[in-house]
Amino acid sequence: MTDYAPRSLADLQAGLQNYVLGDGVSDDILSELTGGASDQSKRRLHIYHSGYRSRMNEALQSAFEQTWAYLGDDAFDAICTRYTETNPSHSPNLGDHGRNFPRFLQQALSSDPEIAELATMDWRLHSAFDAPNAAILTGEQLANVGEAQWASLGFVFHPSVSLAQFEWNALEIWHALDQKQTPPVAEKLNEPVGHLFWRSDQRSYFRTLESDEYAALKGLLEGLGFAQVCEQLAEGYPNTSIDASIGTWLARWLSDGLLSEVKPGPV
Amino acid sequence: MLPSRAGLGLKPEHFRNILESGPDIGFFEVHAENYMVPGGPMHHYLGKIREHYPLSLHGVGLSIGADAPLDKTHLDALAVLIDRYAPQVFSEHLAWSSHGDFFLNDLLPLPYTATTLNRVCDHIDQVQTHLGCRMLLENPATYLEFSTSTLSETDFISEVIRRTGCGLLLDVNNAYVSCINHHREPGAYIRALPLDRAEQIHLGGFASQADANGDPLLIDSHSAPVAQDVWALYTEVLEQMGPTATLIERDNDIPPFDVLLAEVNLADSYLVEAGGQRE
Repeated sequence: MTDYAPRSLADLQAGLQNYVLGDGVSDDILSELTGGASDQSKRRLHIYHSGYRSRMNEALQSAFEQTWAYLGDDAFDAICTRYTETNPSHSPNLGDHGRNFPRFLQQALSSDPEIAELATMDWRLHSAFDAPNAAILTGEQLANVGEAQWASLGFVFHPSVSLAQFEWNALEIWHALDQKQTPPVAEKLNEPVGHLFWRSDQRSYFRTLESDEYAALKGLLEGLGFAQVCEQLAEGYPNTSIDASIGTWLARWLSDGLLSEVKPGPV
Repeated sequence: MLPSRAGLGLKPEHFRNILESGPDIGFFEVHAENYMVPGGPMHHYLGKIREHYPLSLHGVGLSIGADAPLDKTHLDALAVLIDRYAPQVFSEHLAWSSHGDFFLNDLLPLPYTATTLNRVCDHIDQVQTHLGCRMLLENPATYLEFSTSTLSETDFISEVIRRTGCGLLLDVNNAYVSCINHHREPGAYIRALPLDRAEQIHLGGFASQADANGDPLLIDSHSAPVAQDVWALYTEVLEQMGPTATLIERDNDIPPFDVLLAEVNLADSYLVEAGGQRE
């Protein structure tokens, strides 16, 4: 007879959790089960081990649809399993599991940098989808801003708005995959291109940005005042008519629902 | 209380269809954790659908069977959802899903002992106090049992319900899956539960695998239509309980809406036979 004392519930759950999260060595748990160290117990324990990985991989498939399509089932499954080993779930909502996936891909698949960019696109669209709701600034509200205020005001953006810069043709690849077409060969761009992500009318969107509009949005999103951003643009883009461009951009930002409110500047 | 009708698990791919066609369905059920996001379409569509249908809020991550204290943040998030959507019922599982900082996002079994009974009752008391409402406790689908258990699952559930005053969510598919896996008679298992405290029924589909000895090992996958054996068990249950709100659950391999609606209509026809009335 073995000298055996039942474990506490905390110990048992820690042991089962280590088994599920770990490499599947079950010796530590089997003595607690009705079937003992039988093949049947091992088989049944394994359901929880493989089920955890399946659920995590399915959550990543759902959030990174085009990254999955680009890599194919087997390669995507393998990289997801590697990711989950080093990034176990910390949220009751499976939709959160991919938070660090693009950064992980940047290192794990560093020889194919377009994959991390593709995953960043997927994740930004996913994040925009669930971002907090907020008011949308109207053209009328903006028209009511007094002339004197423009010197110091800034903007509060809708919480779904974010920017990313890509060095590879991830956008072209994403579009092709979205249309169920063969994606183009990965190519490095001549210079990094900015992308804008946001949600409008219950859908997530993105578009590419010219470098001057990217610089304007980046400055405003970082909290710079409108006048400051205009000054920086005038210095950085001496050949652009900033007044004409900013008017066009503002009209588009308003119609796309990017702006939430006017932020008064310091008095 | 939910109406004694058949309901359906609400899936994002069906949001627009439901709002456009307004199907005659008794209620919808959502997994609470899927709506623990700050904003966006999930809340937009649930809000619109809630205007027209009763709602069941079903938790899958509170980890009531955990040794560790309940996650206060999670309880607060549930309270926010209950306040926002005023569901007719809130339910959770007799299971655990997290330990320490990790979430297994699964429903794991626990041993049935005096100690775990106290722990589960404490947690349910805390849930009901925090949320300000009675909850329903769902019987689990399990693949393992513990040699340290000193109570049967049905005695354990009965005692939890007696002590805490919570209700029973009778998952007929779970009962079937567990009983086949542990070589028990599903009808006897169900009759040993406090059916007079059951306020909702779940029906789902399972996957069948092979156990180490070649016997069937059933997995609670929610990826298939309700099995014939489970429908048969359901009609026996209705004879004992009378018409009771019944959910058709499908969380994986989700078919077109009409396929699910046909299962909802079948459950509704059994409910009418059992004395229920479609409004």
